[in-house]
Amino acid sequence: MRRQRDLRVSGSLLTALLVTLAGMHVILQGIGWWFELAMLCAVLLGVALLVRRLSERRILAPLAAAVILVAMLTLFFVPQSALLGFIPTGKSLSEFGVLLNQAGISIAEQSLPADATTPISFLLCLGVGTIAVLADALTNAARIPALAGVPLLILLAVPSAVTMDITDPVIFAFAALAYLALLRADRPRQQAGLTVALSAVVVVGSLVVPALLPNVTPAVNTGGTGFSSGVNPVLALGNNLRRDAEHTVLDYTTDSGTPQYLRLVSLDNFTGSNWEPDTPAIRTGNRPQHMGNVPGLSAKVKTKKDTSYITVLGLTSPWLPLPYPTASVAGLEGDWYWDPIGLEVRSPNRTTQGESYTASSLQINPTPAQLQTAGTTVPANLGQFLALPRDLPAVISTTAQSVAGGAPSNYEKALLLQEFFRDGDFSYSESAPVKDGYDGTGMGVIAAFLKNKSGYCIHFASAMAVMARSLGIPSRVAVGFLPGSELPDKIDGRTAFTVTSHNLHAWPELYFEGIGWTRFEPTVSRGEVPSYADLASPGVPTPVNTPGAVVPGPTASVPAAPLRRFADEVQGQNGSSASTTSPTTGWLWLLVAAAAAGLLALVPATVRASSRYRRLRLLRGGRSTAVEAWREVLQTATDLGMRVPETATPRDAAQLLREASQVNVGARTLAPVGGRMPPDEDAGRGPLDRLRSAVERESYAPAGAIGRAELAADTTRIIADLRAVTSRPRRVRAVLIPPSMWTRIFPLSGREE
Amino acid sequence: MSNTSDRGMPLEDFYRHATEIVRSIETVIDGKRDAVNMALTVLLAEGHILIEDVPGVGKTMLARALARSVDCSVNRIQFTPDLLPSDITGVSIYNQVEREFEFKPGPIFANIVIGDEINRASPKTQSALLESMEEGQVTVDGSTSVLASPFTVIATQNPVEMEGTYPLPEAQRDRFMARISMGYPDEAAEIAMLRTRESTSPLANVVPVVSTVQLISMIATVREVFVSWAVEQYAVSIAQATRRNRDLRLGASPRATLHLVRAAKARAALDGREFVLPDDIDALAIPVLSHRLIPTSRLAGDGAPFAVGAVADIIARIVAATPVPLGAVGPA
Repeated sequence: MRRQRDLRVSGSLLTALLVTLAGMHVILQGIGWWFELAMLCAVLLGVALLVRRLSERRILAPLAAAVILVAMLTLFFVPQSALLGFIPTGKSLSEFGVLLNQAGISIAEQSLPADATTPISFLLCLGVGTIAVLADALTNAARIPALAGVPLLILLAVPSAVTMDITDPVIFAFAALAYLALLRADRPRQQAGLTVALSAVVVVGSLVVPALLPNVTPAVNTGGTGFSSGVNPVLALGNNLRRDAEHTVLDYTTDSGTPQYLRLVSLDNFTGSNWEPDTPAIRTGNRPQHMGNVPGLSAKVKTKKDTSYITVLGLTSPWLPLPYPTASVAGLEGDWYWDPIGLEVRSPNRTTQGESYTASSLQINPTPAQLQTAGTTVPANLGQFLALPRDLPAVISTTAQSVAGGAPSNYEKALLLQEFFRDGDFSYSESAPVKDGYDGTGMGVIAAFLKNKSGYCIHFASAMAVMARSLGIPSRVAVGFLPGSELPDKIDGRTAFTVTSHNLHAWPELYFEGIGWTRFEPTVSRGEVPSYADLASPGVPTPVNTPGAVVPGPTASVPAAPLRRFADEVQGQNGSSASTTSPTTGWLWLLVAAAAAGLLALVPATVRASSRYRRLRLLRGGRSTAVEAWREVLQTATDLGMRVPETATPRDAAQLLREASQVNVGARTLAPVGGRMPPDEDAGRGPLDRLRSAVERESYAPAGAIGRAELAADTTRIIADLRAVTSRPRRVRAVLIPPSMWTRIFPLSGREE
Repeated sequence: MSNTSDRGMPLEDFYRHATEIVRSIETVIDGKRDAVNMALTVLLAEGHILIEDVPGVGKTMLARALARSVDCSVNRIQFTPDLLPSDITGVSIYNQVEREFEFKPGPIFANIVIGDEINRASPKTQSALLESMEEGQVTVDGSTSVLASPFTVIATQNPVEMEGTYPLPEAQRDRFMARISMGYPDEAAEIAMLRTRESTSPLANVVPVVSTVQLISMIATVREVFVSWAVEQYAVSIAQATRRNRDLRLGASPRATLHLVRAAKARAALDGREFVLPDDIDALAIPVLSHRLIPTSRLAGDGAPFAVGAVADIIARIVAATPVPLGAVGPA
């Protein structure tokens, strides 16, 4: 039976998709995304199945599934700009574009396994949904299930492409099995032995061949330093530093002739397992020709304008290398936007490769006195930069307390922390952390780093930043480049510098009231300590850590409770699939989803009610047939819970109805030969038999006039009788969720041929 | 099986005659209304009947009672292993007076031929019936003789697993319109039978209630019954479903479909209708189809080439699964 084949094939296809999707676990964190995508696939295949049930035209099913895909994407990702929340408008489409760009950035910014953030989630839903629709069209509309292997293979190849590694062999084996099951579901009569043998070969092969193949290693990107290959900048940094081949990243000249730290991005959020960049939605108004004010900088601080002319030679990154803070950038190609918090400049769709631009920046020269004056005051809106995970290893905060907890001001605490790293037993090593298994920036890594006292810039920077946070100083980690080396020749009269891949660097930025974000340099033997942080500079106080005089971490202006909550939120977000919706919008979503589900559930009821209305109207107008009236009666009976198989003859059906409802007394069976003479057809019978007889005459007797006068009255009478013998809940169900519509969609009786 | 140009009779008269025949048969066969109705249906549909059951349940009695109720020529052939084809069709004998060969018609030349225990004869002899049953004629020594009209073979046979039987070949089985199984009588009927048949043969009391002319007219009435396209479609769907069914090695032949619809016309007329309903097809599917279908060996089981019950089940399932066309549909 076609319907059974359909159900079987769609079921197998769904299984194959779900198994293949599971292969993405190597690149995505958590399992929430799998359930989302599984639901999406189930809905799409279900819609296609349903449409095939209702219509014979093959092309309709994939079309309907595609329409539903677009509607779902709209409903779940950009409902604000859509009509009724799910009909996409031109604006929705452009928002889709923005989401796609953000997804690209999000992929570039995250380490593996990545969080399925909203943009990534959108990208996944779009891709997987398209693949599901395509696979369904190939399997069911085109009837070539074998070709469905192609979209499945694409899905299977995604993790391999990202990780440069063979996909999880177990998943691969199961995907192969599911694919074979799909082929078999299409042709159940194929020889079972052959299928089993073939499956065995495929499964064994898929497990053995990867082991025999030489290890696939990622191709070395010799063209430049890369940040957009789907990895977190932190990891990219380590990998680039460790790479033997040093290559030029960029050249720059400055008006002032002073070397510049060039910052790419600041990592604002510490999740416990990672430092991650904050990626707010791009504000398209924020063109870098005029950038915003420097956060926290007051007019009292002495600044000096400077201009840098930067030419990127070998760097692919969505962020622009810039001095901090930059006021404007000129000469860029394409779309670049600045972010008001970190003042970094990034592009949703370009990389830095080949860009040549002029950046006007400020040199901030706070005096130690100004820094000291900032005291321990922290603006309330910087809670994000104080957030620490609840389960932060005690060694980090106790070390911080013992090193700097007793200092009176945040500035002195910062000096003590920097001193702790630079002047202590710490050594610089790019390989030790990798060798000993604590590479990265997570809190476990920091604890190990504090114990082993060996690491490179990222360890120093993240350790100092986390310790600063534990002492109540807002902090973040900046990723970028050291100033590089001065070139012997001047260019256009300006001192020229060249920056190589080995100049990649990370450093902590601490916030001081009135000054803003201030760079420190805890990394031993690297970089250059700014004058305000150099104990040897004039005016810089020798900080004293007074044991016992422990100053409470967060000061009065930042109440502890909200801080904690914020920390929880950050954690919660990263624990789950990192949706950025607040609780209220979450509820709103639930409501919208529930309302949509409710509306969807009422569709069959509406279709049913309108078809009844139309039939009865035509009947009353004498423009319909007995068969239509009969169909209405049978459908009503089905709705009321009386089962009348569609293979029943009118007589059988009438008998079933009579038994089910005692409608219409005067039971009549087929007159046996030798009994009484067949009575006059319609005489003395109830409406049910009159209608049944009319149906038989209309369908099977020679063409002739059929009395239609009573059809409408008989039909309404029978329906009323049927309803009268039915319980109220059944009647309500018949109206709201008419079973006749569901049996059309999901046939109950297995039909045999 | 000839071209009867007689006109049919009004349905009321048809019904009255049919009732008389049934009553007449029922004086000798108690409690077998279905079998009797079926036999009459096939007779009126110009088909041949195969009555199959264990010995002693009244197969021959039904055949003879039906034959005697109609005033027409009746011959009875007792099939035995040594019966020759010419014992059925007749032989050409040299007439020394006329100095030429003269055809001596065999017992096949009658309106109703009762073939008793047909499966006791050799296949060769059984096949002698083939031509006559299908074409209503007999060819002996190159000359063809047309059989009487109406012509109906009522054959009885024992189940094939009984001793000394030759199963009927598929081709021969296919020529019977329907197979009837008598079944054992119920308790009351068996006791009644003991009373009535203690002394005399009840058949002696059966007198013809319908003349040959009336029978021919009744057959013409059946021919006039209307079969809609929807019902034809339904019958064909069922037949095709038997050909596709996985449990059947041999499905219904086109002749089986033809027989199904013809029998349905007779049943409709007997029900007082001038048109066939799908219900007629439903009711006749098992008697008309079951003896023609061969189940796969899986279902046949050991030693039983035709698992009657299994085949009937399959047909019932097919009928239950075939949608009934509704509405004034026609060939597209």
